[in-house]
Amino acid sequence: MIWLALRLSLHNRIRLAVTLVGVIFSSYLTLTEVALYIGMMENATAVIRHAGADLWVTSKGIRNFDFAKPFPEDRVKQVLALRDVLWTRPIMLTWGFLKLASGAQEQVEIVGYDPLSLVGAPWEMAKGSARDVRGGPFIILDESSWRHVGDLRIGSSWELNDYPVRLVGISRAARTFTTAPIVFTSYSFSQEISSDVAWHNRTAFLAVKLRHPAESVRVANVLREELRDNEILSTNDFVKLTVFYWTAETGIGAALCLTALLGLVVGGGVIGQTIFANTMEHTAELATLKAIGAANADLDTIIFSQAVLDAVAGYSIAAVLAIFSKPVLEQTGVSLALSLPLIGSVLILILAISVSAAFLSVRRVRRLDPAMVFRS
Amino acid sequence: MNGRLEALDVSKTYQRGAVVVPAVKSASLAVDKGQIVLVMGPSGSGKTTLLSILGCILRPTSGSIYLDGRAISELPESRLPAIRRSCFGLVFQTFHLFPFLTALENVEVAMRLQKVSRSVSKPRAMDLLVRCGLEQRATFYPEDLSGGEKQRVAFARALAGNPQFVLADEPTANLDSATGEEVFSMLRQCAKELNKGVVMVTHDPKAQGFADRVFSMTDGRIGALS
Repeated sequence: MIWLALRLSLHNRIRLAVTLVGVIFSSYLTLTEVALYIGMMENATAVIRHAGADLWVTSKGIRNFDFAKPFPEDRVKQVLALRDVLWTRPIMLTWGFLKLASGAQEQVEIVGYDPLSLVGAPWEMAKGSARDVRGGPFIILDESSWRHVGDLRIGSSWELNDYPVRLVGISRAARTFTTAPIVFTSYSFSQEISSDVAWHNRTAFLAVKLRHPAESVRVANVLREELRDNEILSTNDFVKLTVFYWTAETGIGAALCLTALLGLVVGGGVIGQTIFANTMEHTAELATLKAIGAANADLDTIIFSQAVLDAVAGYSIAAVLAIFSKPVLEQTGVSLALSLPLIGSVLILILAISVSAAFLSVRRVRRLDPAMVFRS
Repeated sequence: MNGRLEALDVSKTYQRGAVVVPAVKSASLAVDKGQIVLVMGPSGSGKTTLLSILGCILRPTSGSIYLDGRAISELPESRLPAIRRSCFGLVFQTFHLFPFLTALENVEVAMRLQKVSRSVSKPRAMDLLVRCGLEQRATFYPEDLSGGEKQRVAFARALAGNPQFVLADEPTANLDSATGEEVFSMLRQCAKELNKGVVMVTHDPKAQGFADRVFSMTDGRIGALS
């Protein structure tokens, strides 16, 4: 019956074109919005996910990675005192201003890490090494920051919080949710340039690696007892907290989700409406099929196949468009996490909505009286 | 008893609001394979309703339809499509060809409903079109065919599922006189050469010359003419 569905769909080329345009539009919208959302959340949680820690010690009441609050640095000793802890490293996170050659200032997120252990360091380098920030006023910028700071050349000099700094490396795929550039530097230098006295002898995070990661829940509870003024989070919980903050508390994530949802609804609506119109237009043919022996299951197959064919054809075009437009969109500074699993998942979603939208037509066809073929 | 379709004391009424409208009243008739039975009568006399009941498209309000001695009108709804596609071939007054399929594909549909593969259905459909003199029209869409050609395609489709019986509803109503006679002749050949049972309802008096038995129908009641 699938061939019949195909012929029925192809019969009215204009209607098919209108349907495909609707599906392409809605699929593209859904795919890019979801990819944008995932890309933003990946950016927001990138340092957490790449630090290699099992647990994180943060200030009490922290709501996301980007807005860290200081707590005493000597908590490192209390953490290391636990036999379950393999290592712990402090990570700084503050905000500052990078003064460009033109005199303009760019707000940046400063991540200070230990250049020996590289905990909290950029995880992929386009140029230079993450260890190069050791022993001086050296910084690493992400290759995406050229939009903010201009041409990125190793050896370029700027001022960071009024301290002269030199670019020693260029990282790859290290971005923030806010799109402000991340400046990676050594932990000691990040403390030195912090203009805020609140950060003196204080740190933003302790990344903790356990001897037995499977015991993270028990160790986290022990640490909670020891460090009552701190929050103890697993890497997974810290990621979730950050994602929740940007998604639910700022409304940004919700807006993206709503747009993606609208895309799905529009797509489903277009397919449902087209198939229903097609069903109504071909009532006589469908009744004839019933009269000559088609079972309801055959007619259901025709209707659902039309929905699936429309959805797959429209979605495939939209996915190709999304893949080709990704580099263009990313030129504007956004990250699109357009992965194969995402493309597959959104296809399943579009298919589910399209098939659901076809149910109205299925109900209509099931109630068709085959005797109508005798009424000329 | 093989190859017999029988209506026994069949009645059909419709409910129109509070009014009960009788369409067929206690009709009985039988058709055997190789036989052509004609039901004649004016419009609204219940001929088409009786044909729909014989073809398991409508259920009788009372009475039964027997196919080879089995009461098919008592079967559950889910079993009827299989009976319709394997036992009956239908020919309609307005042809009811699928406009989005070629003549060949229109004939194939009946076989594809029986899950016959394309490699089998295509040559068989072509063979039927050749029998109906339409081999040159196989790739034509219905809109490019004349009325007579359309009815011949519909006739080929009716035979495609190799049914025991062909039920024809006013098959010549939309055709000119000469083409109508061709169709009557094809239906007779179908009964005599292919050993199918044919039930034809019409008010065209010329059909009588092609039938083995003729019934008349008036106000839902059936009576034998010859």
